[in-house]
Amino acid sequence: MKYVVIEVHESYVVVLDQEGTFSLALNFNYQLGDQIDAIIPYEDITTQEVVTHKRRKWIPRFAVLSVCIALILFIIPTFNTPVAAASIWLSYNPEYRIDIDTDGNILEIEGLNPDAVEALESMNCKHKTYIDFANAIIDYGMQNDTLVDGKTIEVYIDTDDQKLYDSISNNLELNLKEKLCHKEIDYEIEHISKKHERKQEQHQNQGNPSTTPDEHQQQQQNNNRQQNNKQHNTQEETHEQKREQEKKQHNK
Amino acid sequence: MKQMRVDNTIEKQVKAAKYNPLLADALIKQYKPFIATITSEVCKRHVVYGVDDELSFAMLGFYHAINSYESDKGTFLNYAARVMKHKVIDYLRSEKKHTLISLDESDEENQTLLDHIPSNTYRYTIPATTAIQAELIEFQQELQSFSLQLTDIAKQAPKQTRTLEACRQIIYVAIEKPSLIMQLKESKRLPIKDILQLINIDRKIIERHRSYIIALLIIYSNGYEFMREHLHKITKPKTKGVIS
Repeated sequence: MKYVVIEVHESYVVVLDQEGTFSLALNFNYQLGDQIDAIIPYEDITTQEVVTHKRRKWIPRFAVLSVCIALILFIIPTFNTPVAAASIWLSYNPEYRIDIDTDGNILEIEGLNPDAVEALESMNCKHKTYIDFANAIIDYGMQNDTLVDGKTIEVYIDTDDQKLYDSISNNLELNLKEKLCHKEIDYEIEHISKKHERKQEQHQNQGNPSTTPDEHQQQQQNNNRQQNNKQHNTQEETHEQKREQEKKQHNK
Repeated sequence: MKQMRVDNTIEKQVKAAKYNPLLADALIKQYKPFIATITSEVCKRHVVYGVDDELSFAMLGFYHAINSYESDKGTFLNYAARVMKHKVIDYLRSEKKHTLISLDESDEENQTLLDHIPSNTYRYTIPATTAIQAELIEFQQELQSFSLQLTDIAKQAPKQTRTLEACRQIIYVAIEKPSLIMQLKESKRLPIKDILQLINIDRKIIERHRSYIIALLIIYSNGYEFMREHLHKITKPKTKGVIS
């Protein structure tokens, strides 16, 4: 099999083989366009390691059996489902929410509007980190012209762990900077509490734009008291009517 | 205290570069002197980039260290040094297995042993010409106009034979119907609906491997003669450009 070097980086190159497969290979001082007969794959350690098992010594069958029974009876039922360490909302009109663990691996993905749901159906999101997912949805948006110059990607992060928040926001910022460096697409990364604060302010301003929040609350209380008074008055009226009716009946 | 700050900065960079070859490569470039120092310690001699293969294996070790590092494994640089040393030692051991003979001694016909050894190693056999390089640079630029990068295409390309074969079916269809490639180039979008009308294939395969399919379709548009010749195993040889 022959390979041609189609992109060169410091430590690796991208090669294309004769069957149309693109791969990453270790760079041995290649130049762009070099044709080579063999490569050393530039792969993640998890895909490259070959686990070789030495021949185990014979273990008594009853020991194996008792371990299996213990697993079934005691240990497996106590396994907890992985708990999300943080939730991240990503939105540029399709809106997504992902839950991740402390290592950044995705535990759950949800499309929050029809566009996002449709997009997720076409994506393979298994074993991805939040960075991989962010890149995937950006690529998808660019391919479908839903993410164009002038748009803003909003990112909200929900976690109580300040360190984790800093790590996620820094990583996303670095990644988005590099991903969008040749585009006029903005991004905002904030804690989810700021989004809630803005929403609350909007609600309050919609209720009575000319009042402060305290005055608005006072007004609402007054309104409630008036409503209660009204109810009380109508109840009294019906009670009086009943008494009059009874009197009339009695006089008759 | 200063050392702790340095460690925290490196750890942040390593976390960002995990499973990201482009960011990892930038980090490797930053630490080239460190990588050379560790390699020299193992080889017990001065090593030079671009000359000594041990350095390439050391860089691979650094990449593996980036992907496998956790904070409970100590400081990143100490961990990376261990991984790199193992990688270089493994390489040296595999080289030692071969008997050392001189490649430069000439025989009666004035030919050296090097002339007889078949080129089955990872060294280049045919160096690039400027024309080929120009074609490849144009290919990279055209991919960029689709917001695609070759590193990402290589990482996301189909690996299973069935999926590869399905993607090739799309290429065969596109060669027969040049309007598909023209549509792709004009709209910068893969004409999925039109492809599905011509070929019975799962839409999800196209969606998942969109970037790979686009890359191959670009190769089969006009101007990439060298790359089409190289891909003769997936199409008929001497295939002309689709758009003339």
